[in-house]
Amino acid sequence: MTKKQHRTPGARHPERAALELLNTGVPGLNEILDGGLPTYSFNLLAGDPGAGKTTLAMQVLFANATATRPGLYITLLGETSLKMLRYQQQYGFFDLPRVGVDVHFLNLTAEALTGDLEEVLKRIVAEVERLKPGVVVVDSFRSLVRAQTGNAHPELELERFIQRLSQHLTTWEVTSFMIGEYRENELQSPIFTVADGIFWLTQATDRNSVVRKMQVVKMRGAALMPGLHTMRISGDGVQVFPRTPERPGDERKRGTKRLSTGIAGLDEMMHGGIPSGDSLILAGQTGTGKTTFAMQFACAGLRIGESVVIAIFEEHPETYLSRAKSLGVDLDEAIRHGKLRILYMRPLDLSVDETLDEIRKTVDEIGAIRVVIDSISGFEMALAPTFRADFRESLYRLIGALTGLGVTIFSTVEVPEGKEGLQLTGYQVSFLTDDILSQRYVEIEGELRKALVIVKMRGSNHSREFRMYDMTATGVLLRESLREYDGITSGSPKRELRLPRPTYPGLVGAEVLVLESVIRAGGLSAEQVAEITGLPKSGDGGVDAIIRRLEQLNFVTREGDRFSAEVRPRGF
Amino acid sequence: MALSDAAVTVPTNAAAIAVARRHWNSVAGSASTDEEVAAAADRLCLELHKGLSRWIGVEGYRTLQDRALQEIIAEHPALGKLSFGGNDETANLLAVRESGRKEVADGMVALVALVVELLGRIIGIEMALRLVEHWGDRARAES
Repeated sequence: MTKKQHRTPGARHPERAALELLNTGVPGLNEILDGGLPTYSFNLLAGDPGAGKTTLAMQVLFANATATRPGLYITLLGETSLKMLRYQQQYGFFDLPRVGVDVHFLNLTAEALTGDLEEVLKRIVAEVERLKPGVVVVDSFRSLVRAQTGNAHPELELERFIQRLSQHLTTWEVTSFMIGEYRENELQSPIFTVADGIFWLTQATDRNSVVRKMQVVKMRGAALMPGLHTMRISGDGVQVFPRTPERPGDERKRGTKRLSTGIAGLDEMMHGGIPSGDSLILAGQTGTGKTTFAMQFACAGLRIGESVVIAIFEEHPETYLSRAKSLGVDLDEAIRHGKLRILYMRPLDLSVDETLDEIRKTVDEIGAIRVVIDSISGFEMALAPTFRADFRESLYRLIGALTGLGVTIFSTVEVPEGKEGLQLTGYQVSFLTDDILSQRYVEIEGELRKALVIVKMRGSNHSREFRMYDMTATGVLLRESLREYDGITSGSPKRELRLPRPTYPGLVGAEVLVLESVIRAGGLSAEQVAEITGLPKSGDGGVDAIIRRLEQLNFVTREGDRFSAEVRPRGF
Repeated sequence: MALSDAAVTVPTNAAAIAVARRHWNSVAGSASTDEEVAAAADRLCLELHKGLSRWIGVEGYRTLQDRALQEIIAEHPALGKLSFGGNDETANLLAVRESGRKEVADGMVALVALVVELLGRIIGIEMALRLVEHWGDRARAES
């Protein structure tokens, strides 16, 4: 149940009171509050009807009520307590055996209807003195204003009531919630000055989607997470998805390892595969095989025992799984062994934070190394319109947060058809990703073929060739290069006669790669060569051995611990 | 899920009847005279009002009690002569003398049981039993 943390005043003032924090019992909310709810805080829970105020307060109450410091839920005006009891017990947090033991309900509707706030206050105080609760909820107090028909200044009376109530509750060491239907433009009310914390809940409908959000406008003594945080109410109660989740030590983790794409030839084009911790986008028109590429990336990881998370937004998981079978990998088995999780997310009122939360939780649970997002276009459609409006920002937050986990991300995105030129992501988010692969259709000798090119790989050398590829029954098959063609990005390339590429007599494969890296850079150390090419530094076939051979053949000369190229072929 | 029948002329839930009988026995004890039975009816009315109003409000309890009385009066006409304000011993004594001690006792048990059942239809029988049991224990602890 209750698990208290402390916010310490620091070494400078050890004699000052440490602020105890209560576990709210609402997933995601403790993070927003910088650890939890300060004990003895007097909090206002405001917002539109139906926004989730009662449920949130009830959830906090159940999370913190104990036999020695019970919870007390007081109903004034608003939802009748009968209805409240009927509906709230549908939630998972509502533990029926605890009602009457450490969770108590008190109805003061009759007193509230008289408009006599003094009497209401007296009853509440009497109950607090008798029960000595740790948490009190008063639901709701705003309507007390309307009940004071004989009073010339009902708002002033209410303000006094709140002041005195706050005083009493703090004296009795109670953490409390006052629920009120206030609108955002009423934040200037003096009542809000009294409160230590203000929680603002909203519920907005946009076309067919309903999005609930929470903002913690104020919390004394806490470094709040700012902004509007998405909320969802399910059978378990309220869950909040912090807007900019940060965890200690969440920095970009890029390793030196390379991950295989699972496609023969593509790893070589990338000079070893995808750098670990990178975010890669595969952009292509419809039907170019993006999902198959992504699947092969996932399967490559599963084959060597890595755990993988696949987030899909378009295809149903069963369709996805049967497609994978044709690639020779039984994803069902990987799922059974806990190495693979497929997240199917299509509620059409999704928020970025929910998506991120789901993926992060799953990555943590199975220790995933690879994450596939298929596709970014589908993700956009699944979002609630309010988040779709600024999709770039949404994507920025999603990819930024995921790369902080140290996983390698493979995302697919559909680019518009019918445009010439090299279409990248279509979302102007190229800057977010480390690596971009672009697929397109080309017309070659009267046939519609598929081609791909590596557009960029941050901090790494890569092939710049266009390569044709086919989709076969067992996956992607890279074909010949389109080196002899010009105008590939137009969709109708033309074959040109050209001078053959320079060759390096006596050199093969990795030796050419090392030499060209040195030439391009104008001089490198062995360590730099290893990093750029992805080749091991020592051992058979390592950079040290290759450079020794290149030196012997006079292709490179040594200058201290750096090497420069001796030969510069024509056209290079 | 079909809606339950609106009319309930007698309580049928065994747990509700048992808890109602328990409450009656705790206030009536071994009451054997008209005065003792009247006083017990009085006390039970007061405890029922005080205990349940706390949870569901004065108005909430009152409407529940009114409905229960309306449903059950045909089976237990003795209830029609009782005062449920919890402060009219004279009226209740008269009712006992006119209707009989057993009839009043049976009527009170049936009324409390029906209140629990009706409450259970709204908030679930488990919750209703819990509230009524807790109310009763607390009332006795306070008195």
